[in-house]
Amino acid sequence: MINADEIAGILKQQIAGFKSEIQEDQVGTVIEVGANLARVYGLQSVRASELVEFPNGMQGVALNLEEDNVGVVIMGDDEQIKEGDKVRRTGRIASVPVGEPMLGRVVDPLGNPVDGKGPIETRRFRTIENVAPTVVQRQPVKQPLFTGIRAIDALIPIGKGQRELIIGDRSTGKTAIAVDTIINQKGKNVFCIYVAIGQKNSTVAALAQILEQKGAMEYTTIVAVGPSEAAALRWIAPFAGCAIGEELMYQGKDVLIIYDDLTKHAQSYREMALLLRRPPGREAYPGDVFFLHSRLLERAAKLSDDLGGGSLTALPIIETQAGDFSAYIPTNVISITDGQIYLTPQLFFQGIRPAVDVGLSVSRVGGSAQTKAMKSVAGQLKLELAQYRDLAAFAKLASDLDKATQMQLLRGEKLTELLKQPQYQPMANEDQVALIYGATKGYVNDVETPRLQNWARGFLAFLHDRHPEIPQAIAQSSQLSDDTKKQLEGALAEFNKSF
Amino acid sequence: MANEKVARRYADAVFQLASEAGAVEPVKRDLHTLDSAIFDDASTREFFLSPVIDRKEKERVLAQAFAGNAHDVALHVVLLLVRKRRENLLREIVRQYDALELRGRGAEPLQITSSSQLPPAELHALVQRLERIYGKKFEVSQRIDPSLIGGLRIMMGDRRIDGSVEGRLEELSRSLFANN
Repeated sequence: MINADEIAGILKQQIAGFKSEIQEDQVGTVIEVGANLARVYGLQSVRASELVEFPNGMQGVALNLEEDNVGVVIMGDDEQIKEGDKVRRTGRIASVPVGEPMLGRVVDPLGNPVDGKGPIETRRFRTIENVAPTVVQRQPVKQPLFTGIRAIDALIPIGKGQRELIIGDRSTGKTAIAVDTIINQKGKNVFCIYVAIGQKNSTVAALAQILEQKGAMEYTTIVAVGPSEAAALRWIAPFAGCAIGEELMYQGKDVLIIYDDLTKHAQSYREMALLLRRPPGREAYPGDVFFLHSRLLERAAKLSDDLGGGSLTALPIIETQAGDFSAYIPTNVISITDGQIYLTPQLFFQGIRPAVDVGLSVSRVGGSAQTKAMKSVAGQLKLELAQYRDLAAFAKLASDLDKATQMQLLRGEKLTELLKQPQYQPMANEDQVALIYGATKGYVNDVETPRLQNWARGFLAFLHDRHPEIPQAIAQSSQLSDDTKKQLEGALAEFNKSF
Repeated sequence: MANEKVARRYADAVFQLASEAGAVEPVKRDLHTLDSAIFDDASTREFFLSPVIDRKEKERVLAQAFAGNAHDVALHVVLLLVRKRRENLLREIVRQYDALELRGRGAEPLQITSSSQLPPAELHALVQRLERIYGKKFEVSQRIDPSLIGGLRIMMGDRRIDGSVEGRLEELSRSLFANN
């Protein structure tokens, strides 16, 4: 604790060293204020996106530079700003504190802590808008980023530096996938940033608590802005989160960033743009809403080895209305990202959770990042699931089916059952490989579908207990050699005898 | 906002007319006279701005009251505004006209705020010094604001030169809070 004498001493020092020079700055006058937006007369040489300061210390961003006034979005409450107030240029562009002290903290988009854990000790700042790495500064996505979710790691693999969209209706488990992915990065030297844009504060608090419980908070920063705050803050939140991630990426580290969600981000931007009287386009979004998201997501990258080889993997989230993927913002973000994970309420309510629609989901670049071991088992899984989907559609019409078809339907059912996974229980890659290998090789054919989850749990416990060398071998070599396959088959047969 | 733009168009036209007639000064004076005559009194202001009163009636009264007392250009501005239902633009037009007139003379507005009345000699020396430094001519307006406590605050367009005690205190509080 700091005592009153010390404070007085510091103040004395500061007052003594205070420069009493005449200061010159550029000011404008507020002529209109409302809806977190101020029109300012003057400020003739203000630059676009420059930070300006209101008398009560409130900050704003000069967004619209017009013939005789400047449109400023206020980052905070506009109640204390009145007509006639002087607005000062700062000469700075909006920036956030960055660096390792940000980890484990919950901050607002301006980098102020909101978790009650005291000030953040960092002197490094980074502007929130930065140019994305150029072509020569990048290299292709080639390392896997494990989500710990079987359905995703096997069928829609994500690589470091990739941008994979998570899209679906409300409450279909979009955030759950993102959170599981964060939890799964424990001990993998990947730093995580979760940007909550317009999420309920209670949701963010619950999330922080879960991450804390799972020991995931120590490598995670949460950038949170609630639905009751200014649209400008919701607008800069993902950019601020991205700047925090970029700093770590340029230090050669691997970073995962989650934007939850970009639908609300687009809506906040639309709100600001309409109030600034920018011409509305489709669905009343401004014309540059595509550019807004593309320049944000373009900052995700796998850097070249010359630049340290760091990466920033982005998992943006988009919420659709009644499964309408062809609305403006969803199509925009689908076209920007390197693939998407579709979640559907139908699957969710059938009890298939995570409710990933493996038929519609794709990963355009992740395949080259998948481990050899996973690749060797996932191919078979993909094929069987595809055949199952085709057959399942026809089977609804047919009354009696031949033996082979029935068999295939049954296997598809079992494989689908095996891809179900409870929340907050990410699974190691080698365990996933062992499980899928067993399933595709027919070792689950005699297990009844409702008992499959038990079988999977039991088998993994058995494997780690009796044959720990098998998962170790898969993890170390990241491939499935013939020897390991034999051992694995032996273990599967052994376990099935006792199950 | 939009009003400002419209007012500027009007002010431009008025200023050009006045320059052609070689009557920039008289028109300025008369515009100010008209402006204060109409807006300083509540009932005339209401009469002038009210949309209910017939335009012809307004024109007649205004022409009668000011004919011969004001320069034609200034009077016609007011009458045209009435005819175009743009009465509320008058104040802004006068302001814009002043700015144009100032620029026409190659001068810039300079506002000096002090906590107490400055002696004329000091003010003169100050303005001369500023004119030398910036190489411009200034149209000086003076304001007295006791909340400055001491010193001066000078506004040149949107540039603010602050040497007041109030400004220093503000800066101090800013730097103290910034370090927290």
